[in-house]
Order: sequence, then C-alpha cells, then structure tokens
Amino acid sequence: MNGIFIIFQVSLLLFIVLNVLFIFLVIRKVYANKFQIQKQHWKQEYLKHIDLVIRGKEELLFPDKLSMIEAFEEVLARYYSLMKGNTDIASRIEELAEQVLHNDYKKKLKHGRWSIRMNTLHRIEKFRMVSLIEDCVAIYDKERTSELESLQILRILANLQDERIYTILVNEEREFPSFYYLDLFVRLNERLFNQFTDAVKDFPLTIQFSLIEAMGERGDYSYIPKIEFYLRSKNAEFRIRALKSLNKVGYLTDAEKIRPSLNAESWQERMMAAKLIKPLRDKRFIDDLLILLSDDNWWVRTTAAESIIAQQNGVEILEDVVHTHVDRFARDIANEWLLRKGKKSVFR
Amino acid sequence: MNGSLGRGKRVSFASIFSTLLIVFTFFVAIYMIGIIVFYFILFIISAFQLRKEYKLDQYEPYEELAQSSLTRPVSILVPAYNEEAGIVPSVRSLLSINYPEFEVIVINDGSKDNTLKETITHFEMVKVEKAIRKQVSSNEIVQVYQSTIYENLFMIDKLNGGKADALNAGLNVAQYPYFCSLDGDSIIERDAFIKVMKPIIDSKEDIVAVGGSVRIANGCIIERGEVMNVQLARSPLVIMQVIEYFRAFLMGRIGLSRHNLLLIISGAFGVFHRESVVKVNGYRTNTVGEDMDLVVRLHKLIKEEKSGKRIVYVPDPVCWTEAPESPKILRRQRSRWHRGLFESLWHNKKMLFNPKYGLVGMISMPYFFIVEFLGPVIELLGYIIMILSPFIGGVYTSFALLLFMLAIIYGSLLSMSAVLLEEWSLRRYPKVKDLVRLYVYSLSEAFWFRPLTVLWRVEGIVQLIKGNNSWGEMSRKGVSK
Repeated sequence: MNGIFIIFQVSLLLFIVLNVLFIFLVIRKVYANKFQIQKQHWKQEYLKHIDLVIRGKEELLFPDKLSMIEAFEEVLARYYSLMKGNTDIASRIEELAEQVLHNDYKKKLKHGRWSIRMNTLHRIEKFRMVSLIEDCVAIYDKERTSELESLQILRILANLQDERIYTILVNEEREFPSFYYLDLFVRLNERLFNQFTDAVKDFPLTIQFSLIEAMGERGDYSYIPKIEFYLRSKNAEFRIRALKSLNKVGYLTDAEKIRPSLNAESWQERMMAAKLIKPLRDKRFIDDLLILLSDDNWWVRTTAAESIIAQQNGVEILEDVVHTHVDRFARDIANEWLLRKGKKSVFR
Repeated sequence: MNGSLGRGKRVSFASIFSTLLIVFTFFVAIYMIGIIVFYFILFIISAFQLRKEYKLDQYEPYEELAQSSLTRPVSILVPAYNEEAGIVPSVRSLLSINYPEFEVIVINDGSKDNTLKETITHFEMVKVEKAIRKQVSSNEIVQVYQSTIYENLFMIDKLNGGKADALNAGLNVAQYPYFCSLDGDSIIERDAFIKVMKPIIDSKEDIVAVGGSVRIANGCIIERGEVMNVQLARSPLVIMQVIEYFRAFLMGRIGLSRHNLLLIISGAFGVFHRESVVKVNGYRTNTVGEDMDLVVRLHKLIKEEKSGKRIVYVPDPVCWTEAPESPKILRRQRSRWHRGLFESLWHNKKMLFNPKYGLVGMISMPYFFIVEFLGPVIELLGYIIMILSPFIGGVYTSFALLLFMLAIIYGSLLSMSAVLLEEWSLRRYPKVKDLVRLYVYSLSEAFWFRPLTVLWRVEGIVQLIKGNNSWGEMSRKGVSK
C-alpha cells in the first residue's frame, strides 16, 4: 500500500514539474517567435542598407538591441561570404565587425555554454578580428576549453599568420585529427610554413605526416627535394605520405626513386606509386605497371591501368593485355579502362 | 468432512491464483520501475549533451568544410524496388546535396514497374562496363549504367533479392571509403552529409558508422525535394509517431551513443565505413532487420579486433521520411520491426550477456532483449492484470491502480519529457500551436497509442513463433524506419 502511495506521489510530482516546464517553454516560445519577427525585420532593414554602409555612402544604424545585433551579424556574415575575393569590401566588412561586434564577442568568449563560445570563435575567424586574438589565445588551454575550440583558435591564428601558432603546436601535448593539421598548414604563408618544415623533427609523427602532405598541397616545386627525402624512409607511412604529396605536385626530380615503392608490402604504397607514374608518363615503368595489373588488390590494379592508359601508347598496351594476358583480373581491369577512355568517363 | 475438504481445495486454488497475481503484479511493477529509471538516466545524459549544443550555428562551421578538398568522399546507395513514382525526384534532390565529392548509386532491385526506364530516360543514362569487385555476395548484377548528365550518378540493374541484397550489390560497385544507405522515399537535408561526416573527420577516423536522425515529413511543406517549412501533421496517428521518434532518437540514441552502446542506426540514414562493412560480409539478407543486424555485427568486429572504434549518433543531420498514416500499414510495420529486432538478437545471440563484448554485450544487447523485445509481452501482462484485478476486488484494485500509474509514467510522462526536451534544445517546430498539440497528444499516449503498439509488437512475436517471415505486402512507400 505504502509503495503505491509513493508511486502516486512521484507521478503526481513529475506531472506537476512537467506542466510547469511546459508552461515555461510555451511562454519562451512565444517570446522567441516575437524576437524572430523583430530580428527578421531588422535583417530586412540591414539588407537594404548594408551595401551603401560598406561603400561608405551611408552611416550605419548602430545596433543596440539584441535582435538588432543578431540581425546585423547575420547579414554581415552572409554578405562577407558573397564578397569573398574582393579585398576592399572584405576589409571594410572586417572594420565594421570590429567596430560593432568587438565588445559582444569579447563577452561571449567567456560564456559558460560551449555552443556560444564555438559560434563566436567561428565568427571571429570569419571576420578576421585581430583585436580579439589575445582573448582567444587566453582561453586556449583553459580547463573547460574543448578540443574543437582549441582547433578553432589555432585556425584563427593560422588565418592571421600569427606566429604563436608555432609555439603552441610545439608545446601541445594533445594530438588532433590529422585533417585539422593539414587544414592549418595549408592556410599558413610561406614564411610561417617554412618555420614548421625547418623544424619538422620537433613534432610528433602525425604532425610530420601532415607537414609532408601539406608541402605537396602547396604545389610549390621548391619543396620537392624535401618531400623526396622521405621516399627513403624506413617507415612505410612516411613513404606513403611522401608519394601522396608528390601526387599533388605531379612531379619529382628523379623518377627512379619511386621504384622500390612499386613492390612495397602495403597496397597503399604500391597504389600511390602507380598513381604517380600517370603524370610522369615515364616509359621505364610500363613493365612494373603491367605486373601491378595482376595485383591482389583492386585499387592497385585499377590505378595501374589508369596510369598505363595515360601513357603515349597506353591504349595499345591495354588492348594487348585484354587479348593476351593470362590473368583474368588484369584483362577485366584493362577492359574497363579501355571502355572508360571512350568519352571522358561516360560513353554511349 | 466432505464439505470442509472441498472448501480447503477451493481455498488453495484461490490462494494459488492470488499468489500468482501478486507475483505477476510485483514482477511487472518492478520491471516497469526499472525501465523508467533507465530511461530517466538516458534522458539526463541526452539533456546535457543537447543543451551543450543549444543554438550552435548550423551554417558557419560547415561553410568551409563543404568546399574543402580534404573531406572524405562518400558513396550514396539508394536501393529502389518499384519506386517509379518517387525515384527521379529523390535522386535529383540527392544530386544537389552540399558535399565536395560523392557518387549516387541507385540499385534497381529487379523492379516490376518502370523504375529502371524512368531513371534511364530522365538522367540520360548509358550502359557502362565495370569490373566489379565482388567483395560481398549479392544476386546477379545485370548491367551498370552511368548518367551522361551527372558523371557521379550510377545505376545498377540487378535481379531481385531484397533491400539488403541490393545494398550489398551497391557496396561492390561503390568506390569511396565511406558509404551511406538511404531509402528511396526519404528526403535528405542539403547539409546533412557535411554534418554526418564531421564526427568522422573530428575523430581521427576511428568511427565505423554514424547515424543521423530521422524525422517525419508528413505535414511539412516540401518543394523540389527540400523541406521548406516544418509543420506538424493533423492525423493523431502521425503525431504519435512524431513523439515516438523524439523518444527514440533524442532520449534513447543520444544517451546510448555517448557510451558507444548504440545498436540501431536507422536504415533510412546512416554513413558506414566501407571496409569495415566488407569485413563483416555486408548486410545479412535473410532478415527483415538488416540495419540493426549490421550495427550489431560491427560492434562485434570492433570488440573482436579490439580496435576501440566507435559508432555514433548525431542528432542534427536530418533525413525526412513519410510515416504511415493508416493503422493497417502502421500495424504491419511494427510487427515487422519487432521480428527484425528478434532476428538481429538471435543471429548474434552469443554476444548476449557475454562480458567479452564489453558494455555492448552486458548492457546494449540485454537492453534490447529485455526492454525492447520482451517489453511488450510484460506490458501486455500488466494491461491484463489491470483489467482483471478490479473484478476480484479488495487489495487487487490497488494493484491495478499501481500498474496504471506506472503505465502512465512509462507511456505518457516519458513522452511528455521527450517533447519538452526537443523544445528545450533543437526546436524544429516553429509554431507554438504545434508544441501545444505535441504536448497534449503525448499526455494521451498511455491511454491508446501505447497499448496499440504493444499489441502489434506482440503480434510480431506470434508471427515469429508461427514462422512467418514475410514483409507483409511489399509496400516500401512510407514504411521505412
């Protein structure tokens, strides 16, 4: 009996709590919707005038209400995305952002909720707000700062070519996903990037791998000797990254350097090496590629066929394979590439 | 003498009956209290997680990512069986997604209608030769087509073999490291792929599968394959399903995902690491619950390889699907889901209560077995006691009352909490009126919808016992999970 009474009380209590919450949420929703309407109104208003304000032909209606600030911020952000590439307008937008949003953002960086800090960091990155760099760096290794926030701060530093990114990364003990390192390195200017490549050994392996790839991403021939150096590494991952990187550049000083990789143990390495022959168009490797047509791995076979067909007499070589090769896999893959060659990759 | 003996017998019968009733009542009551506590724990975990991301900008973090050449390419597999009406618009909406590199592979699973012809003519497709890696087994592929308008659109024409078999064929043709399975009748938001791939990038690629959430499209305004305006449908049956989805996705999946316990990634929208799926031999074809089965086997692989990889759920990337509006189809869907659930558990029964499989073996599998699978039977027992007890009278009336209150907490109060949680965090329904309707309907759940679904699911168990493995009539439209 007692148990029933307790459960009755519990469910009654829950019911009351839920209803109170419900009423609270309904009221909040009504206000939020009103706020949205106001914000929408201000957005329209700012959209009409933003162009003139940016061109300096009109005074900005300074936002002083929350709905106005948010509307202004959104309009400015969208406009900025559209104006990418136009440096004059971009710098004028950046000025406006500094002028209007600085104080708001400074406060928000210290906000207790993760999503608000994250949004702010994204906006600071977008508007390249130099004046807030100190505040960003200050929260970089705070206890509550999440990995994504730290990465976002690094990105802000990279975009603004701030040298602190080097010292932070050298001393950083956490390891971030490799995608982000590559993303950061691609953003750096040459001077800052070279600071990293000159001291490549000081960094953990993941960063070293990303640096090798980033050298290729930059597409600059001056990095080729540095990348080639890793082709002789004992560590297969270094060789794979170097091949990947050279594939981005599409060139290397001495093609013979990749020959060992064509017979490497890991299929990724064989594939990357086979792929690199395509832009090189080097006849010396045709026999190696023909061997790779019978590789155990599909990726290696298809890449080898792709590289063969790109050679001067590639079509004839593959036709020969189709008719005479003993291995069915080799014939199949050769056939597929011959058909693909017809019209781009589509043929009627 | 005789009389007293007879009375003694009657007494003992009655006492056996009443003892049984007491035992059952307490059993059901304790079971329900256990589940309620479990759900509230999940609720609290989810609430914290969702609140952390409250009002997170849905555009800025993805703007650059969507143009980055560093993201991983994705193959989108769309199995289609007799979908001539919907296939062209859904493929067209897929081709417009906001993602740097992807291919769409439609798999015509031996349709008897014009699915093949419609697609070929509309996208000007031509036959291509493709050396197909047969990494997982599937029914014979007749021909592969490629569109001349969109280079990244392919179609496989194969002999009929069911959805799982179609997906396996698609896996063999897919070129990219990740693939996504998608129902032909669902609509994906343009940014969904960027959002669903982000955890993979953020996690040093130690994620084998990501599930997105599925929402109900009925009532929303849809134009050119895009949801323009989110609104709540009028039909009570649909509203109840919306609430059910809140419960399942917001409370259940976020909570489970947090601790890598997730066992379901909806077949309607999930991204998988291709190599891992190939390693477990693709989808299982002799089950109606192929999506859950795959996830369970991926967990098994993770534990056996000790790779520490994870399966996660992202509440935001949204896929819209049409929910059944008629009780007939809903009933069929529910009993089929229940059979699918059983089959996934049965095929992987060695994981159940097996400490070798860590928390998945000790918590997720038992949860799905005891709560999800056996739950309806126990609930049904509760309803029967509830109805019988008052007729016996006395103390039994209060038993009925006890179970009734528990059923209300379990059915209605939890659903009300889910509705409030949605409003507190994601706020996908802009109208105040919709919120009020959702709340009021969720209040009513324990009185009609919950008992109905319990009956349908028990029906699924009965069908299992009878050995009925059919899909019901092949009506894929709107019955996708």
